[in-house]
Amino acid sequence: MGGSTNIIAVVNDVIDDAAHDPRLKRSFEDVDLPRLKKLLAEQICELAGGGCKYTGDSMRDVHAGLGITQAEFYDLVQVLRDSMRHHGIALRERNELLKILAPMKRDVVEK
Amino acid sequence: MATKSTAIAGARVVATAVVDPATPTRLPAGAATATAAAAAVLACLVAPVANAADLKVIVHDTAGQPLTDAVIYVEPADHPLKPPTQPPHAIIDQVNKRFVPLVSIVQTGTEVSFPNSDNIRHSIYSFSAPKVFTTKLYSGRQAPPVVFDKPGVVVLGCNIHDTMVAWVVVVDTPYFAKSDAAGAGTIRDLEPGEYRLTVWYPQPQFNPVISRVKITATGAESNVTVDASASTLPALRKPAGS
Repeated sequence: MGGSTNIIAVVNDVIDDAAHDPRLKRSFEDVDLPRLKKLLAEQICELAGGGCKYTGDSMRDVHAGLGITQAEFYDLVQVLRDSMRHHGIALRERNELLKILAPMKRDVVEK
Repeated sequence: MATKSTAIAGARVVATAVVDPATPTRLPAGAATATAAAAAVLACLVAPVANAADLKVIVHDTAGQPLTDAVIYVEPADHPLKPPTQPPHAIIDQVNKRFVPLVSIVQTGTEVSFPNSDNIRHSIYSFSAPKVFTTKLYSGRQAPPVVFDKPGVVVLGCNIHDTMVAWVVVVDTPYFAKSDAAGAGTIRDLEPGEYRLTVWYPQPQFNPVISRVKITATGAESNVTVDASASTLPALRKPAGS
């Protein structure tokens, strides 16, 4: 995906955009955004085989009680797609990352 | 009624009137006819009340506004207190991404539980010297209590929600109170004697205001003006997201 610098840039934009998006911002109120960005970049770097070690909690613990809906999940995926495109990440790499992240849906969305 | 006024560390401490306490219970005249056993029982019930007195402290800022959540505590002026035999217990909850209460006063050695009434997780921490710790609080799972074993001021935060803040003031005495909306706090059941009165307020670079009070069998009242502003805390009490 073009290295950790790219991952950090994409994650920073995703979180900033989501925290200001009327559809998504409720989940980011009062949240320490710099910490969230650091941990999310760490996790994506690890999953993408970038040699990082994720130090945060499980996706289930992280999202427990937030009541994330399926619509919110897909809205965030769209924000992620836009950010990757904006940072010039090729289609094949964008799809690879989305494929890696897709299984998280069952731990993020509240049944 | 004011008897003296002294300037201490930029703050004015005025020891004022002795308040009218609860009138010590007296045996009615008819008690003389009661049996000796009954009188002995009555004396046991009455004695602690007759000897103990209350100290009421009213805390204001320099503009005369009452200060809520000021920490008020006294220690005997001439001897240290024994530590508690059983660890006292206190609770600091998490409600709508706020610590409740915002300010806690606990005796050294107190176990504090953090129950988390929110259904989301928190990750609370302190970098303050008297107690450095991190505890993760998940919804529906009780974390072990944290023992505050050294006196001093501990500032709590949450790693996840950076607007959360709370203070735990750890003191070497069981005699403490927190001021209410009128700036008043009452420490009950003090043995008569000389005490060192400390008032602290959660504001950066705040120096505790220390003075002496004399507790008589009828109690005492103090007005304490501290170099702080009543306008700093309300913002921290507002509900999350508003």
